[in-house]
Amino acid sequence: MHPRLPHNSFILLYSLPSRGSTKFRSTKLKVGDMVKCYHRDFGSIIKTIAAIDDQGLFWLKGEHESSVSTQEIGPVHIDLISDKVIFTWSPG
Amino acid sequence: MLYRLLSALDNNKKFSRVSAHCDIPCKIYDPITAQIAVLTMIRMVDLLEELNSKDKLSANDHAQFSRLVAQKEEHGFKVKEEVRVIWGDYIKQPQLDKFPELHELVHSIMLASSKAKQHIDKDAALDLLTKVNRFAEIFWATKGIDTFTATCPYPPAQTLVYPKLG
Repeated sequence: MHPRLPHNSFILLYSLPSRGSTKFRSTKLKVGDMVKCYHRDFGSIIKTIAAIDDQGLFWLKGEHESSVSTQEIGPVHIDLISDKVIFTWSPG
Repeated sequence: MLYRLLSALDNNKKFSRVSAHCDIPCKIYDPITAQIAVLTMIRMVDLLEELNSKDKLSANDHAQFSRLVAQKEEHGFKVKEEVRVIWGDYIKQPQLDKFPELHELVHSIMLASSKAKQHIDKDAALDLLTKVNRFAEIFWATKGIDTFTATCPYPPAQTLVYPKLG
């Protein structure tokens, strides 16, 4: 389970602009942000940005030791990141 | 308070769901366990038919009969469980998009497993093997791994789908 996002949490998302340059869209994101992206193996997932490399690719991570690893997720292009999490509400 | 309000709203008008994918994924999935369980069922049917061909059964034969039926039953459950875990934990929308037959195939495996458990019926067990082999073929395809078919080198000497590794 995600420490910042326990099961059955509600999240408020900010949709990244679908238009505009890749660079402009990337400026909306920074390391530590939680984002929603579409992954070819895992489908739509919520992950945290661990790093942005010099090619502008995003490396995502879960925050629990049992999460899928950053290496397994692989580099993610900005076009596959649709939203940024701006608020979460957790049960309890 | 706000969470309860959101829950009430969610009950009335379902919000869209997204996964954080954090449910301890061990990542160890392999349909071979299900395939071998079907082979065991087929083998049990063969041994049961051997017993059935005897004119008279001894006490030992009766005991053997019970054991064979119990094993066939147990491995029928195993087929269901192994396929269910791969389907429920590993298969996601991208795999379903590539192989739209998956839901129907898994459901047909559940039904075929029940049928193979209920009867001493070689055809039913072989039909189950065909379905589980197809499931294995799809599973390896989702991982980009080619497969081949070969006869397993032990009884009941049936055809299995294997991954081409290395």
